[in-house]
Amino acid sequence: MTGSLAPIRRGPHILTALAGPALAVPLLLCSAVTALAAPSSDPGDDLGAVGLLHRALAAPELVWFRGTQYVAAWSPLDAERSTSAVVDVIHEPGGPTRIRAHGAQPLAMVDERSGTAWLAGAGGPVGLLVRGYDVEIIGVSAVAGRPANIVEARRDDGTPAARLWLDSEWALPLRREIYAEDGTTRTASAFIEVHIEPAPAAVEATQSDPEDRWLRHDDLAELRAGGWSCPRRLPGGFQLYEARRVGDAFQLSYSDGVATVSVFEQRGRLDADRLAGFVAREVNGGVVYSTPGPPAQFTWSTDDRVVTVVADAPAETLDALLAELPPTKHDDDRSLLARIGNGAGRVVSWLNPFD
Amino acid sequence: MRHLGVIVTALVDDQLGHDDRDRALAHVTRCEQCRMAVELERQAKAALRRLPAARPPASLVASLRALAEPGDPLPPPRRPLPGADAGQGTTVRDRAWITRRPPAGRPGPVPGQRRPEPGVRTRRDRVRVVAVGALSAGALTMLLATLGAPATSGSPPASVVPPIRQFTVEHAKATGGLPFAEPAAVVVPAVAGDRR
Repeated sequence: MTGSLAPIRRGPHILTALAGPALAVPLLLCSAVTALAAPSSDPGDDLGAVGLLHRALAAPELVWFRGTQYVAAWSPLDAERSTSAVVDVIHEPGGPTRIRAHGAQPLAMVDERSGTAWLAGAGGPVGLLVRGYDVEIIGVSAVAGRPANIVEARRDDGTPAARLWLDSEWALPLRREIYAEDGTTRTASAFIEVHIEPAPAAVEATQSDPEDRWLRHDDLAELRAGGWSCPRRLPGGFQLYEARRVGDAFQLSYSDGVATVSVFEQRGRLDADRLAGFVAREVNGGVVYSTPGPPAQFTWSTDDRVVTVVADAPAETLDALLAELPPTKHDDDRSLLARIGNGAGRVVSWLNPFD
Repeated sequence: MRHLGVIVTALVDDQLGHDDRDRALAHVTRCEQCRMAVELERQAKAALRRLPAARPPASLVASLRALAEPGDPLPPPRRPLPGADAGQGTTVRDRAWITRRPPAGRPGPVPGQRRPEPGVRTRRDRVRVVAVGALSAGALTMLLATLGAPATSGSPPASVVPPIRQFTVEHAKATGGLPFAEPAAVVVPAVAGDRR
């Protein structure tokens, strides 16, 4: 994180006007070809919408933008709990997107755009989306004074799962909304004002996240052989799309294209007494500590590992995840009574000649 | 002829039976040697009777009396002594209230010194029994807890408090490449605080 926003570098306007579109055209063509060639759409998808989504992913490499954005989210566990903020956003082509709370507050964050979804399979992030949802362009609108195409992702039953307002010129996402199955909004964000300029030269995306933190398929296979869970997918159509090392923990990121779940595994045993603001509840004979968020956060002990989950996924997905990685049961706990009982059992087994 | 020998003392102390005494006296009338031995024995006995009475030390008397003082009951035996009279049904348990002597090196009460009340000694013994029992139970608990500890191949797992805020920021970063995910919607409210 940084405490200040870097100013946008501005090149000569004439060069920008000429070089930007000249470089953008081949990249947009490549994106469109990729979208059409990738096996990431099914008969229910609008190919135009799929192409727009691929362009949206490539847009941060082509343009500068900065603006003011509002964000709001509702807890997946408690619909009455919500959060919202107004943030300043600055993005450099191929680089990080810097986000900070609006105003002079020192709080600042960096969206490093490190996610490349290297484990997502064919079609990358767009493939994740179109495998689980039908996508279609449903209309045009305006966001912060700029015309935008509206792409909708629908569930099998036809209910909208998400809508995306993409800038008509650059396909940059200007507004996002995600809906629960009952139609209520789960997250919403939109630019109140935004300035977009083409990059003066082609900028290859840089990764602030070093590659030695990345975990590939062979790394995951090795971890699984060593006793780590590292599930390939989670119930509800959530597929593993990224995995990396974070300190002494392993982060596994899952998505169905709309909602996301991050599972952190680390060696040790949860020290629940030092958890602040978490509520304990019994799940499958064990104890899970949670905060409703958003985003919802869970942590629990399973065997000799601590599992922590940060998620904006529906509650059903989180319940399914707990069934996949159940907490340590009370019977298996290392409490004194359990130890005494186990010890007595061992002594009896020694004395039992038929054992 | 056989002489009286050791029977001389018994003859002088008048401990022989009627027939033995007649035969011994008949022999003394015929044997001068035995007659002299009997006479010497009688003179020695008379000399001892004429000695003045000796007074033993008071401490010796007190120690000797303490040997006869009543003590604590003996521990009950598990079974009757061999050879106990079945008709009387007497066992060591029945003799539990027989007085016992104090152990060696432990002087008994001297005249004028008050002995501890029997009840005090009983309470002390109860405390000892309870203390020994508690220690034994604790040791057994520790032993069972040690035996019942889960088998681990190495050191026990470390105590962990997950860095929730860092994990939330990392989660937001991981969503940056997804078209519908909005990292700011994840990380800003989580860091800035929430409200209903």
